[in-house]
Amino acid sequence: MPSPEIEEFAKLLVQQVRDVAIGDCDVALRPNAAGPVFKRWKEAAHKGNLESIVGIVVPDTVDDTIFHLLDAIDNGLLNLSFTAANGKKVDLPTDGLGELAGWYIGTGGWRALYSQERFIDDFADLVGFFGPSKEGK
Amino acid sequence: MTYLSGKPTGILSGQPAGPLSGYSTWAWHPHFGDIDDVDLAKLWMHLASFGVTGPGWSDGDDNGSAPGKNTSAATTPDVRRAWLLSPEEMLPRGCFVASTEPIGCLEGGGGAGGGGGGGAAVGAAEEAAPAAAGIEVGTAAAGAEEPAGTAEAGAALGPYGKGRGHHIPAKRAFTGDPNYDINAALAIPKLELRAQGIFHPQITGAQQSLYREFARTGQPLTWDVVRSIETQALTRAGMSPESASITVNKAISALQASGVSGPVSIPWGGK
Repeated sequence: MPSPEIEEFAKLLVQQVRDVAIGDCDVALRPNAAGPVFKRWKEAAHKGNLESIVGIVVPDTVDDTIFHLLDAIDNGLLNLSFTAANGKKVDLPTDGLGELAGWYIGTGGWRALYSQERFIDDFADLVGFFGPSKEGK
Repeated sequence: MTYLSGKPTGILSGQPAGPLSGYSTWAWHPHFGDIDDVDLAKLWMHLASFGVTGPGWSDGDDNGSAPGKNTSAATTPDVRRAWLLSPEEMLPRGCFVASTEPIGCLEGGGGAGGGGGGGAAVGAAEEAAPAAAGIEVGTAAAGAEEPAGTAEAGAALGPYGKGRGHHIPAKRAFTGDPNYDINAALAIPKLELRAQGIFHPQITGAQQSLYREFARTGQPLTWDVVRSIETQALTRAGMSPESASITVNKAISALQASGVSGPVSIPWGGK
C-alpha cells in the first residue's frame, strides 16, 4: 500500500486533473457548448466516421488533460518539483511563475516546440496581433 | 493541410476491436451512435492520409522549424444563447426552473432552491472546493451552491479558492502586489465554465498568446490593455462579447476595490 503522502498525491491527481479534464470534455455534449474546440468536435461527429472523431478529439483531449495537470501546478494544488538532467531541481509552482499551462497551450508553445504528434493551434492568428514586434530593435 | 504525422504510436495498433466500443458515452450520444467497432490497426493506414476540412477550419502554417504537426484552426466563436439542459434533463438534476428564457443550471446540484442533485460526471473533483460560493459576483445569489451567470450579467465569479476555475484577469499580472491574493482573487468557477459551455484551455491559450504578443510591443501593461485582452480571450473561447466585457469589468473592479493598483508584470512576458 502506498504511503499516505502518495495516496494524497494520487487523489489530487485523479480529482484535479483526470476528473476535471473529463468534466471539461463532457461540456461538448451540452447544447450551449461554445468555442472552436467543441465546434470542430461536433463537425467531426457529424461526419459520422471514427477517423474524423479520433483525428480531432484525441489530441484535444490529451491537450486538455495536460493543461489541467499544469494548471493544477500553476495554482499550487499540485506542489511538484522537477530535477533536470544537470541535477538542478526546480519548484514548478514557484519557478513556473504560474504560467506553465499557458506555455503549453498557447500558440508557439510547448506543443509546437516539442510535439511530434498532431495538435490543433487555435491561436495562430493572434501572432502579430498588436503589430510588429519591437524585440531585437 | 498537414494534419496528421502518420506516425503510428503503437497505442492503437494490434487491437482487434476499437477501444471506444466499451464506452457508453459513444453509444448513447446521437452523434456517436453510429460508431462501429473497427480494426484500429487498419485505421492507421487511413489516418496517414487523413485531412479535415469544413466550416471553421483553416489551413494552418505548417511550422517547418517545429517537429509538431500544427493545424491552425482559428475560428469565429460559436456564440449563441441556448438551453443548457432540456426541461427533461433539468428536474433529475435538481434544477429550479422559473424562467421562460434560457437559464443556467449546473450538473451536480441545484441553484437557489435547487436542493442539490446528482451529477456524477462532475462529482468528486468538486469535493476539494467548498460548496458554498457566497462571495460570487454577478447574478448568482449569495449563498447559492452553484454560480449561474447570464448573458446579460456576465459569468458568475467567485474566489478562486472556492470554486477553482479560471482567474480573471491572469494572476501573473498581479502576483507581487501585496493586495493580491491568488486564492481570494476572482475567477470563473470551474462549474460556471461548464455551464457557459466553455473549454477552459481556450481561454488560457488566448490569454497567453495575446499577452505574449503584447509584451513584444514594449509597451507597459495597463488596466485598459488587461481589460481588452481578457475580454478577447473570453470571446474567443465562446462567450458573447457583451457577457465577456461585463465579466471582465466585474473582475477588474473587484481587484481595484481590493487595493490592487495595477498590473505589475506582463503575463508570459518574461519579466
